[in-house]
Amino acid sequence: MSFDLTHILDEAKAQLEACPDKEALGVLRVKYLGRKGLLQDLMGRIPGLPPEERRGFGARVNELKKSLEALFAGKESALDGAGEASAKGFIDVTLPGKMPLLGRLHPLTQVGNEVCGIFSRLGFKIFQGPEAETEFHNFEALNIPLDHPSRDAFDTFYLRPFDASRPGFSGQEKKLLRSHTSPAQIRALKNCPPPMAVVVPGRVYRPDAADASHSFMFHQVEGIAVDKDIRFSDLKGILIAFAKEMFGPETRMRFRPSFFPFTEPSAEVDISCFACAGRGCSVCKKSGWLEILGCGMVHPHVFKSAGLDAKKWRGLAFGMGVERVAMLKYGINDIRLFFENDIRFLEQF
Amino acid sequence: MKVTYSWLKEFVDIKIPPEKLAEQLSMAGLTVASLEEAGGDWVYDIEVTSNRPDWLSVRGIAREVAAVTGGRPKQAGPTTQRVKGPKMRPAQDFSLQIENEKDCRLYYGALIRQVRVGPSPDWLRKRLEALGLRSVNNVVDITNYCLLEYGQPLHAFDFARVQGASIVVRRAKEKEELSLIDGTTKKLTPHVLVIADRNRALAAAGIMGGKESEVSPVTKDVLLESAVFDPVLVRRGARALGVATDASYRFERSVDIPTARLALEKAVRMLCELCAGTIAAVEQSGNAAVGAPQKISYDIAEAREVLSLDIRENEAVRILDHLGFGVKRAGRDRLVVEVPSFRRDVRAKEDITEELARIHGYDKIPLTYPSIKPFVMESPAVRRLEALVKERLVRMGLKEVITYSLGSREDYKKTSLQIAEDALCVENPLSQDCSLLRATLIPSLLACAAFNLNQGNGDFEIFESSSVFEGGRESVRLGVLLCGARRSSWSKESQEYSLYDLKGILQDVLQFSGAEQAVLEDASFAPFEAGTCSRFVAGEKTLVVFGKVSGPVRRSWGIKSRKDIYLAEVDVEALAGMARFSKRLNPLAQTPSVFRDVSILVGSGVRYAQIENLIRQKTKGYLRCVCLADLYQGKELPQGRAALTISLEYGCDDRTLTDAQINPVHQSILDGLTGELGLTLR
Repeated sequence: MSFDLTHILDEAKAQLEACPDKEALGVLRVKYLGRKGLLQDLMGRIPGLPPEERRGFGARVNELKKSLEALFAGKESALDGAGEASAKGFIDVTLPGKMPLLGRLHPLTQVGNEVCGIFSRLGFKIFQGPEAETEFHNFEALNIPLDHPSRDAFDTFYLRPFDASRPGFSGQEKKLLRSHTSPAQIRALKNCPPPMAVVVPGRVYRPDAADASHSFMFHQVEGIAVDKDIRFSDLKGILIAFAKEMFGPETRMRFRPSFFPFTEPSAEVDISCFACAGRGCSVCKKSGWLEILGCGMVHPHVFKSAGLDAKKWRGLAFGMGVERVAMLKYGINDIRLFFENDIRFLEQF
Repeated sequence: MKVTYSWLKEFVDIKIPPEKLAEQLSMAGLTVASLEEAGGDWVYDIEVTSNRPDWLSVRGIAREVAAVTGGRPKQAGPTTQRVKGPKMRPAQDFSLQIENEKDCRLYYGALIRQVRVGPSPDWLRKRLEALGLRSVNNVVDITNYCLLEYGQPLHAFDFARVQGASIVVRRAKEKEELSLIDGTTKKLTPHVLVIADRNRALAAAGIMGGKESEVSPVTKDVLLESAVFDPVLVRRGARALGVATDASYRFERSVDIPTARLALEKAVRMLCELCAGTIAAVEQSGNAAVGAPQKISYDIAEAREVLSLDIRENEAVRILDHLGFGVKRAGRDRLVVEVPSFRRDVRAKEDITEELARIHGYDKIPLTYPSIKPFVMESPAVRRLEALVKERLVRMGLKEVITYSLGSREDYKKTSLQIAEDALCVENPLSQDCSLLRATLIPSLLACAAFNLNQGNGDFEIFESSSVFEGGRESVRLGVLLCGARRSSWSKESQEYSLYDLKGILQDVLQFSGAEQAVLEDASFAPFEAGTCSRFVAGEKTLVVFGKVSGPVRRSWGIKSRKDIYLAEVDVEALAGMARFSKRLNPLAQTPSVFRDVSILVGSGVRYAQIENLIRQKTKGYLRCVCLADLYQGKELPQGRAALTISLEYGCDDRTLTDAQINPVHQSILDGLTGELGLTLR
């Protein structure tokens, strides 16, 4: 007796193909794989076969069973998928993803944090001083005497009571808005005896009329490290370590002599232009270099102002403008954008 | 300071091309801002730092060129070359008097007669024009030429205009008037030093000459002035008059006493040679003595120690010599350095170290790494808290803004705020818009919101953390502003901000700072709409004020948008006073919770806080959590009423609660709500 098992399989394929839904699939499943189904019927016939045929037939029925099961499973998952799609109605994976609404720190805070973070990892601690400073801390203590042209670089807002009938400040207690973060050097030295190393981020003020590159309020990060054996060559080391981390490992650096009343020797530091790797472009005005910070060895006068023995201690100090770094880094060409706080600007950082 | 390549070459051998020289000067601290070729010559524009008045002259820069390039200074060298001048003669032709030598240390007057005033020779005119000076006539040009060469300002008077043939250096009289060469007339005060004749002021000393005594084509006899004025006096005088000149610029920075004489001699010679004048008299008043030069003992080991720079003794000596210092050897690596009078900036060994480093080359200094020792420094709680809170707000989706700390009286007015009695303002503001130190961030945030709304940005959430100034006290405040809706990528899902969003942010900040015990109170604060304003207080201190910005305030800030604006200000300083930075684990519940909801109709005067309080009172420790699940304000509810659904989580840590245990408790809550508070259950 011979059964056409291949025919059964083909017929099942055709019926499954035509099967529209899960209900129909259930009916078919009963017909083929049910307890009284076709397959069970074939199995039941095995004992009635001649012994020499039983083994071969059994194997073929088993194969058919596996094939049918696979077909049914395939059809079922196909119907499942179609079901989900129809339930949601519509899926188009090319629709835009839903981006989460992110908060942002102001780009100046981000850059300031980055700068301070690098120096923190080098062993500096973060110190902050007041924005309304005394004339002594802002000037005299830093070797910037009254009525000296060195003050020209530090045009300053002086403070007085709004109510003109109230007594004003007098003498060295005269208050002003700090024109640089350097007065915090004196406070840090008084507050924290050496050996010490701090960075001071903060707002500073100078009466510059606003334009694309000037703002009467801006930000600086100041740094000072004091110990018995600090050298000028250490400045090079610490600043190149900073520059490479801030601007990339290819960064080169050069020191040019300069003058700051509170450091001696003093230097301006240029880094190789990160936009053109020093070949010359519009960012670096074709020079290949970007002026990025000022630095030097702490002037003995500063130690004396802080009540320290200038013979015993040596220090390095540096300072940079946060706006300048951020403008270079992000290609911002107008400093006023930082203080307009247009949401479309803030959300880019 | 501008200088030409050819003029420098008069004083020093230069063997390198102009571009190379520019680079080398820049790397020695004489930053060449620009180098331009003009008429076969090169013009350097050099930025001169305020400590180096000696660089405000061609000779001074030539000295640096010699040191930097190793080029030979020519002949006697730029520092010591002397022009043969007339011998001093006793005063016959005019008299000279300094009223106070503190104001004017030294004054030379030279009388040159029969001068022919006319145009300058081409070479002189070209040289001045190359450096950006306008040629006036030969006499004035000669004074300018010597100013540039020596850095010593000179002034030429028409001697016929000097009444009584007498020169007096004195303070101006109150309300004395002077017409200056630039055509302006200034009212003077005794703070200004003047050069006067017997009757009136002729010139503002060291600042600008007077119109009346100016050299003109009809001038016959010239009185030439070379003087040393007090730098501070000139600086203050120039500022008071609102005038800045090449002369005042140099006097402010100090001029060199011996150079005053050299420049005078050169000018006299040029006046005789180029203007056919004859020298009649040279008069000196004041003190020309400079005293013995300052000596600094210097050990070259110092350079090694401070710079890690191995500089040979011979090189050190050469550098200092070229720069005009006197150098004597005093043993191995030991020098005694004599500071020339024109280097008043050099006072100590640090200054010598800098000179050596600068000329030898900063690029030759090696690179070393300092070992920064660990040390303890406690950062103030307020700064720690500020940084943490900022980070937290960012995680909530808020954008940080940075606004100006200086505002105006107008900002306060627009915000309906009073300026505190002890407010501080700027004495010398750029404009009234930025003259007042802010004591609150609220106006700044409103300005920021108004700006963004005008830009078409309708929905935003921003904060600023910054110092504010209350009298002499500087403290940190945090401002938070929500406007419009919280945007979502697909805009229909955007959620309008409400007062509760703002309160939630503030509660999180308080909780995070360890100030959960802060108590909410009704408040009234001018910028906020009545009934929306509250504050969180702890003891005496107000930690937070918040509310919905009122219509009038919005209007005065020019906000036309109809979007609601919610605003808060946090006293970070006060918050930091109670901040706890440590965290302790709250053990997780080991027994299951049972949840029951209660729905109530509210709006009849009973507030949620009362309801929550009642619930907490009644639950006797079985309550794990009470939270508002829903606030419903549908049409079917009476006007002004809302339905609250409150979800209660019951649980007990040592056993599983049964309905029998919960039911009486829950019932007592329901009874309390209806009985004690008179609410209607739904």
